[in-house]
Amino acid sequence: MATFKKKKTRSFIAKLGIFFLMLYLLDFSIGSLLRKLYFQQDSGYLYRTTYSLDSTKADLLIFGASTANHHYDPSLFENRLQMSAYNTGRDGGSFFYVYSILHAVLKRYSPKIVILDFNVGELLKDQGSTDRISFLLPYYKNHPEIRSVILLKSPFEKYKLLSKIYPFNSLMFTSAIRNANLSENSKRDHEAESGYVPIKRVSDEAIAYVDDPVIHELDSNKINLFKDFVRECTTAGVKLYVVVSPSRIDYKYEDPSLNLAKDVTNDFDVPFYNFSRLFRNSPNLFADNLHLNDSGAQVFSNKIIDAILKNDSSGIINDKYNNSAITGKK
Amino acid sequence: MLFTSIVYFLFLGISVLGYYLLPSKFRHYFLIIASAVFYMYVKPSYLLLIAVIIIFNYAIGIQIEKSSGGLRRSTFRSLNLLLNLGILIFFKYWNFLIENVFQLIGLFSAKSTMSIPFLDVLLPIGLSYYIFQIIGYNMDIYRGAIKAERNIFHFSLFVLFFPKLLVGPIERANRFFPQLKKKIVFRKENIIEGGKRIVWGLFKKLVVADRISIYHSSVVTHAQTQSGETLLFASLLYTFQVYADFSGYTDIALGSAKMFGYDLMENFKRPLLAKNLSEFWRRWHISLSSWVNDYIFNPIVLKHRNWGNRSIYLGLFVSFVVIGFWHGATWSYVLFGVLQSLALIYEILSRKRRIKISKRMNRKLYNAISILLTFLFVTCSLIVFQSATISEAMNIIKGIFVNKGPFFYDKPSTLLFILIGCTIMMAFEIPAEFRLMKSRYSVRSNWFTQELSYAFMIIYILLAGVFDGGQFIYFAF
Repeated sequence: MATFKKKKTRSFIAKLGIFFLMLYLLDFSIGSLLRKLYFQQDSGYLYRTTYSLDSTKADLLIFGASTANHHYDPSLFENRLQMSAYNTGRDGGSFFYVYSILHAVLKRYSPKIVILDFNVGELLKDQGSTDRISFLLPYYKNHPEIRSVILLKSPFEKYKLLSKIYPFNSLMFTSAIRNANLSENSKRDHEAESGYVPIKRVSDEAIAYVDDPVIHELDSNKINLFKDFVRECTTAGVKLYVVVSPSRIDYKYEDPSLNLAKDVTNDFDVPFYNFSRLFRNSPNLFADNLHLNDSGAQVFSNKIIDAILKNDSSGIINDKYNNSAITGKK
Repeated sequence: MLFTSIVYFLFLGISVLGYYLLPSKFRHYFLIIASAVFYMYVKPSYLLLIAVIIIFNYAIGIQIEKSSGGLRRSTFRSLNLLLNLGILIFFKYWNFLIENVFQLIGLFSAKSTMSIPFLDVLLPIGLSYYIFQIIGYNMDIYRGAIKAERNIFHFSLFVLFFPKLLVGPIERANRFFPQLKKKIVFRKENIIEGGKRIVWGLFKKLVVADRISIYHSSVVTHAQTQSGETLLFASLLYTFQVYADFSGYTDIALGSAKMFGYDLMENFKRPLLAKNLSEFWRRWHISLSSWVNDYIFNPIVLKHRNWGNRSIYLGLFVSFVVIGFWHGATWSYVLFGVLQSLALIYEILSRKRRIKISKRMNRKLYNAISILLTFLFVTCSLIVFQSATISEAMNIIKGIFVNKGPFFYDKPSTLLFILIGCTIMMAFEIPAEFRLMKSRYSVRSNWFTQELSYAFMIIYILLAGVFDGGQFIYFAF
């Protein structure tokens, strides 16, 4: 009886071992394939993240979330400022993402100018933005300099990343489709080689009013990363501009993120431009209440260039158009 | 502590290990402590509430059993209902009731300066489940169906047992207490079967439900600008989402309980393949529908049996209003319940006609159409269920028929994840329902095939599961 029980136990342990071996082999092989497919992409938003982290050597870089991605046309910066430009903005990119891109870039080289598009509520505690650190998971292995940010996602992230598949969760079809160039948007994505993704829609929304009495808590991790962002730019000799984009949302309360950003930029003598009300009465320049359309992006980009030129005391920029006034036409 | 979180699985693993390492006479106490820790993790102060509820109802049950006289017995029964329902109303329905009372008063007075005394209390998670469970327990004692539990630790475990504490099933005393009397022996089959059930639950919850949820919520948030086809598609998917979400969570609960050697009652039995609504409600949230059947429907029908069929109609109406209301304190939930009752009454009235039709048609065709129509009705009523207000629901339903525009599906990958997840889920349910082939989960199946299929399932969960809020759809573009 005891021998029979021993045999049964040994058989159970052996089957359990085989099960875990199966899991490991499947995880390893599929994860490796996914890694290959992911990094083989040559267009699309995933590729642009990889390009931002690994390859760009543009003189002027734009950082931020969707408002960065859709508001700043690098070709205009290139034409007027006579320097290469790239837009690293990504839809949904939280400040964890933004800082990580900058930190990885500065490890490789120092751009001349960095524009940080800063949103209302940028530094507030928000589970969604912490969850979106997942954008960086595929880079955990090859970018040790951003691992500390990635591990802010959760206390168990280090263990989850033992799985080769986990960093590519929910990305298999996107990677496969882009590799096969089957995406409807692949043409548009190939055209977005500067990182800028234009929106063609024209908004039909009225101005939104946000009157939020809820007390918002600032995220201490985001605050520290923002200070590091500003500090690292300054230390690397990068000319940093912090910009709040135009929107058609009227916030009836003081955003603690904006206040903090103003204070920090002031401490480091970094220009802070709040253009949130700039095109408030021009709905034709917007795709929705938060995002400019392509026309709006052209006007806004030129506005930023004007501000940069005004601010350029070092004479590093050679303005082709000699600061000519912008009338709202491309 | 979400059932899909790593913290929960660490907690479960430690609990199972501790449970079997302890001598069997201490295991119940260990489970009570573990369950208390589980509930405290949600909010420590609510442990006090549940402790009071346990002590009170333990005493009430014994008093009901001890009382020989009708009046005394009825008094304790009424006390059971008053206190338990009172607690439920206080935490869950007070603000809804008081708001509607004041609105009613406002209809009759020209100007009201009274401010509505809303309460700012957080609903204790799981309250609706364990309150109904306890009411059922005391009612069974009152009816003489069971004896009162004299062991307070057993009673505490009946209420607190953590796998069923937050989302049910609403367990029955006559199923649970006998299991507590048996000696618990470690059986590896319990761990394996429990583990399999948990994996299947995780698949349904993370791969199917949470994936559809991202798409559905982004469509519904912008419902006024979505095309009719998009709204219809999202609504159809929502039915799969609700089923996968709830049944997935239940699978994890049942799997967890199995690991400790306990069998909780089944809560779902392939309801999306029901051929009519009454069959649907015998397969969907079985613990709730059977509870309502035993403690509300049957007593009403029995009391008014001289009314004939009208007693059944009344029983159905009241039962499903209760079911609707049980889900939440809004008029859309109530309307959801009313719709179910009206449809069930229609089924009773049209039964003979439907039997005639079924005899004239090919059986398989009739069944297929029946399943489809039942599914469509459930989908339509779930539009009401998921809307915050009735007017929101009406806007969505109207939009399905009038809104123009392109079909929105976000990215091809979004559609692929959703369709593959639903297909896999139904690929297991349909053969099991129609006995098309031997179930993969049969213990007589080759162990290697079983292990490989579960390994693939875990891998697919890693590939396609939604683990956090990092997934989103930016509708605007």
